[in-house]
Amino acid sequence: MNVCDDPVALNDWYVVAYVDELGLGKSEQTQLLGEELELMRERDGRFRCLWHKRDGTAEPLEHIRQRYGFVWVSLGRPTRDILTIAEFDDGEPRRFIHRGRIGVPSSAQRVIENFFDLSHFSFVHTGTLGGYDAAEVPPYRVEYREDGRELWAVGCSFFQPKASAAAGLGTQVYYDYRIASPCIAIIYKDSLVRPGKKDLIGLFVQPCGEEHCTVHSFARVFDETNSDEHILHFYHEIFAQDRMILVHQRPRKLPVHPRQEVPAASDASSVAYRRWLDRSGLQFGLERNLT
Amino acid sequence: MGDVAEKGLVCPYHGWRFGGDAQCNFIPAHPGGTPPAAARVRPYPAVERNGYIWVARQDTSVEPPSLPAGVTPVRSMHMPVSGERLAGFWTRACLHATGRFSRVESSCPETALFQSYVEGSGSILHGKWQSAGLGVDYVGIVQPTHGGTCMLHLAAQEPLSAEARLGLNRALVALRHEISRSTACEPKWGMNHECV
Amino acid sequence: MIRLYDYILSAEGYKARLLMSMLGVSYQPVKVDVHPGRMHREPEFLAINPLGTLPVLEDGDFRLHDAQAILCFLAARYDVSRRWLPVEPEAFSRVMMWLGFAGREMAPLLRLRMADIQAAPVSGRSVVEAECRRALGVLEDHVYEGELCGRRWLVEEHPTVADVAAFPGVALMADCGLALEDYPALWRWAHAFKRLPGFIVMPGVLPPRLADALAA
Repeated sequence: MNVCDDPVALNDWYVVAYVDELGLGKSEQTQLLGEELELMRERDGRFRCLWHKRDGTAEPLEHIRQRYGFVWVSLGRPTRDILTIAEFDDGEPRRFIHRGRIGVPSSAQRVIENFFDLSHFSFVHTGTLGGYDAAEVPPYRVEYREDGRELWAVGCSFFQPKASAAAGLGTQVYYDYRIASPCIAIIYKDSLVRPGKKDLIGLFVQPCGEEHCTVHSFARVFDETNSDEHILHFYHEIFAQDRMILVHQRPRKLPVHPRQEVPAASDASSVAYRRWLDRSGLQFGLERNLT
Repeated sequence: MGDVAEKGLVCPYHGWRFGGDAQCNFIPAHPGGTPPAAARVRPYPAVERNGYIWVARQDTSVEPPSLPAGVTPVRSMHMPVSGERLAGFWTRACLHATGRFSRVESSCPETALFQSYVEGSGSILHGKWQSAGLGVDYVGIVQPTHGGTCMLHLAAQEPLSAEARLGLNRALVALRHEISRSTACEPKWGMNHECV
Repeated sequence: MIRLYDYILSAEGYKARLLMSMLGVSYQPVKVDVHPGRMHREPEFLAINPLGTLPVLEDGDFRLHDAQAILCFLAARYDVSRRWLPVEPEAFSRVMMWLGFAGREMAPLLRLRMADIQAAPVSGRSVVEAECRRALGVLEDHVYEGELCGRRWLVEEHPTVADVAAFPGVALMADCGLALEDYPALWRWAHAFKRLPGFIVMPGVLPPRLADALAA
């Protein structure tokens, strides 16, 4: 895969680490878009990143930022800033949970598509996000925002036996999904602790290669009763259940050929996501041939 | 990964149920609706012969290779090499304690249609296994699986005693150990024992 | 009430959770932030278990680490049938042999799985995978020969703690890219294990009888 042929992938921002994962004076090797990177943290806390190119040279990355507790880089020339997540600055007493990086042997887009899928709740997350006896997916709306640069699934709902670590009884829960870029998705989910407010769960997926990725993620939630460990274990249970599906999906890249789609109404957001990716000109991580 | 239900095969992701005609007949997300005609999976021809399930990669009128009527499956074992390399190992091994496989290699053209999953062509090995008074005419059906490895389905050409079955199995196990030792990435015994 | 220091994604912890469910023993989970917090390597947890491993069991004043040892304790104290940990010397010793196998020979698989889940680099992956396949091949051969003699389980005609100790590695091998399809005898054994009374899943293990649940 020649990264320079895919300017859409090249010119985007990607998370490569959570700030606290790298101690002062430490460095780590990582991969992004099939390229070898060396991420370093100086003694004064600042991050630098070297791109170890195939010709043997090492180019310092100009575009490197810290935002929301994570380290972001771009291998190209980003045309827009890192996304804005207003809930990080709104003064609400949400707790921040760093959920830990998770490796998945599939493309980043497969992970994102699974993240906003509702139809699997009753089967993959039985007992928490869904139940066998209530698998029907009510209609929701697909919207394009920010001049088509963001894809949203709005007004999603589902009956959830245990919607969050803080949840008590089963209840109908409302969700909005924000897909801010091909590898970034955020859930805005009804808080069961602060009615009328939303909890956030976000994925920042690092596409290491076309068929494997590292998922960086966080939660910003209202929860006054549970320990961090309790909340973390709840999220890890859910993510590992998804991972069990993701490791078996073939092809590992996300198919975007129109004839690969099967139109069930509940899959409207998946169909929209694949078409949105197809139109964007993105190549990396996508399977454009009919398999 | 699917689960077998009364009315078909259930996918564990969204619970879609597929009938024997490969058509989806139930979508739990829309329990009152009729699944669209496009909701179907690609079926492959499959037949049951001689105690095995044979699969073809495309529609064909060709029958699976014929085996003797009394063929008795013994063991299906995954081998960490391709079918071609396996054939090469087959009679090289000096397996005194477990007997020797003699081999007449047969690569049936019609098995080219009966490939499984990925690459390579299947082949059938047959010959005689002998060990200390026991002799068994065997058939070894090679099924290419994934990543340049294969599954070997070993069968006796006719029903065999429990003693012969056990002996034949142990010979196959010894062969697999020999193959694992010979292939480059097998660690020497003791490398993974941290407490040594 | 028994306390179990555990992590929801720990395969070793799953061994204890499985047997306690099958024995009908209640317990209080003590959730440890293994990832990303690495709290199992912090002084507070090392004071509980100097090896920094999970699970750790506390039953009153009694504390124990090592999943295999925990299985023996649970069976010895709570299994009135005396079947999960046989008393007869040969059967007892065979169970010990397979517990050792589960703890030692299957460790590379469980470590590889955790490394892959945590996106940690793995050096010499092909060597590690060969070690995993060697151990799984030995287990497959043993289960197959058991089938030839009419014995479904690793040691006895009924399941023992040896089966419980070996199950998680077999059931979760897809988490590190290994294929249970390559081990047909283990597939059949795992299928039977999942249908034992009191069986529970963990993330990564498909529930048995999905089709039945849908039909209900």
